[in-house]
Amino acid sequence: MIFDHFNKLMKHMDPWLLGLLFKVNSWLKAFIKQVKIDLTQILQVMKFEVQLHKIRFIIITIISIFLMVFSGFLPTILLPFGFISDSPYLFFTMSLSLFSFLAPLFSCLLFSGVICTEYKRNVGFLRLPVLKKHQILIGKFLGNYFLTLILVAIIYTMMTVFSFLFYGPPIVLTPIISFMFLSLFLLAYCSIVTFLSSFMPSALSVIITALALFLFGFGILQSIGQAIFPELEPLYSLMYVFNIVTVSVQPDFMDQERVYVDPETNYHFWSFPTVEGALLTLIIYFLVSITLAYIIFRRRRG
Amino acid sequence: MHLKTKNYCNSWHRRKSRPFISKSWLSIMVMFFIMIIINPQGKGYPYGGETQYSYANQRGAQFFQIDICDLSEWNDTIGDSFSPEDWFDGAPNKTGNVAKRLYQRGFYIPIRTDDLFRRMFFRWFDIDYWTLHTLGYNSSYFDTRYEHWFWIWELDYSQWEFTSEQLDHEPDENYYRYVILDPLDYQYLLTNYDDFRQVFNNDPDVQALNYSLPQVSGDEFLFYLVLEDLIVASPVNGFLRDLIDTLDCQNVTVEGNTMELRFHGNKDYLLELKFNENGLIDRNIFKTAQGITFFKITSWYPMDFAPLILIISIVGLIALIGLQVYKWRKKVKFFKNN
Repeated sequence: MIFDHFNKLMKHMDPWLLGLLFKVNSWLKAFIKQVKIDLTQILQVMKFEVQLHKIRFIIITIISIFLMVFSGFLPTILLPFGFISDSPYLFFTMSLSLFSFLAPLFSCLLFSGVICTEYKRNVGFLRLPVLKKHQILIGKFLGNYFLTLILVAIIYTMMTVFSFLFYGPPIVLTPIISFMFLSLFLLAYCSIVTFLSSFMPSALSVIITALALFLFGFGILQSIGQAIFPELEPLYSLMYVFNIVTVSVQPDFMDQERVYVDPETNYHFWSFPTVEGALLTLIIYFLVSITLAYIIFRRRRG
Repeated sequence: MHLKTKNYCNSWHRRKSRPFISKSWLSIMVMFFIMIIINPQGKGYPYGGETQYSYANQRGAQFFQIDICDLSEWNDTIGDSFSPEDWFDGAPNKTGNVAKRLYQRGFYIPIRTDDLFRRMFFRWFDIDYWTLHTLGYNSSYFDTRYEHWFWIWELDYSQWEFTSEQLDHEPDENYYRYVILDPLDYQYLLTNYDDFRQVFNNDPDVQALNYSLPQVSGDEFLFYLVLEDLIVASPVNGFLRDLIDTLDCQNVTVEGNTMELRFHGNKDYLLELKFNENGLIDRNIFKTAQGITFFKITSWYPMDFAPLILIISIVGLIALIGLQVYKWRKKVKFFKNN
């Protein structure tokens, strides 16, 4: 019955339009086939990247857990003058300000060699002719990002467990928001590291540059920016945007005062960005960096 | 060739003779492990050399729950003079209501008699310290008359009052409490209070202001301390025994870590307090003389779950390693067979 209607419709249709429809159909099929091939290849690269960095990831995870337990948990309960704050939110904010700095460091270790090692060693994915450059880049990026997210999730889970042991139920749920912001932040930061890796000669130089950029570069940029435009919110600085990761643990962070203006000097002390501002900045950083990384990677020879 | 071998041997020997870990690192690690060994379950250090008691500065939350609350029996036995609200903040008048206390930090500090008077007796009898100051009973007066220093643990804690709803993440109030490590100090405090009370009550300026301080017996003082959430030093049993002996309490008995106070309201009744190993009150039970419980509060600590979480983590880790080893062995077997 349905096919009869369809056949009647075909008979009355303009042959040019019919040809165009068939063309579009074949293009779509070819596109879907290409996407399927791409996805399969990307998944394979991703799996291989995860396998390749498995040992590095385990070592980094053990170091993180060790640091969490020996600098965050044990001194609090063992040392006679240890201290815990009166609210689990504050506990999370304090712990995050210390441990979320580890995430960029460890993501640097994982991402530093995404592109540059392809050229340094002769055993990279570039040796495989079936793989295209965009498949290698996306696969490697996603593989390492997946590992970074697992690491961050482990850190957050441990903090939640410690929070439960200190404060008891109910379990604080706001760290999920903070985790989402940190994931987005890492997406932007890792794409910057990938961009650096696309033109730098070695992984070590990428690590040093990326860490210097995060720890000092953005700070200096922010100081200069605020000196020239005191009223401009320093959304261009990832260090400033990073503050939303620690602040978003507080349930009322949207209502908190974001800026303090010194009445004498008219200097603006910005504490953290808005949700929209942070999202926009991080997405722009991610898109620009990853696009640049891909363009350089495509043009790079040897 | 010979020279080279010798050089190689020398450097090898030098390398061999070099310690695996430097002395400074070794000493730091030894200190750290000694700290852990001395203090395996978060127990504090035995401060205050003169006393045999120490305080375990335990941080973390303590949850309270009202298991039994028979208010009609309470009114029949105790009367209107004392209600659950006089002891506990919030709504301690319904079975199932919960409260929480969070021990944040502790300071081991020396303190003078006037400080403790202010924190205990003057607060208890509503005496304004600044009025005393104007009457000449200032710090220097107390310091010259009572020279003794008390070494105490001052504890900062936050409190969530009793409620029938789910407890919030933010506390209702912040408090501090103190732990006196030597039971003799309580006796000293009570004796000094009695001495000061006589001077104070005989002062015409004080009489003109209509102030007076009542006599306090050991039993009354102990009950006041209980109402102020008495925290005792460890070992708890010995401390409780010494405490009731030094205060000469007539209506108090101690058995193990449990202290029983006998009172008379409308009828005779008992208050049973069980202390945990860290000196915090774990369980409060009001009973009639016949042994019928009409009010009971129990408590638990989230930190008690730490061993369970540790065991689960270790088991999970072992399972993960086992799985990896099994996979690896399977691969090796496969390659061997093919």
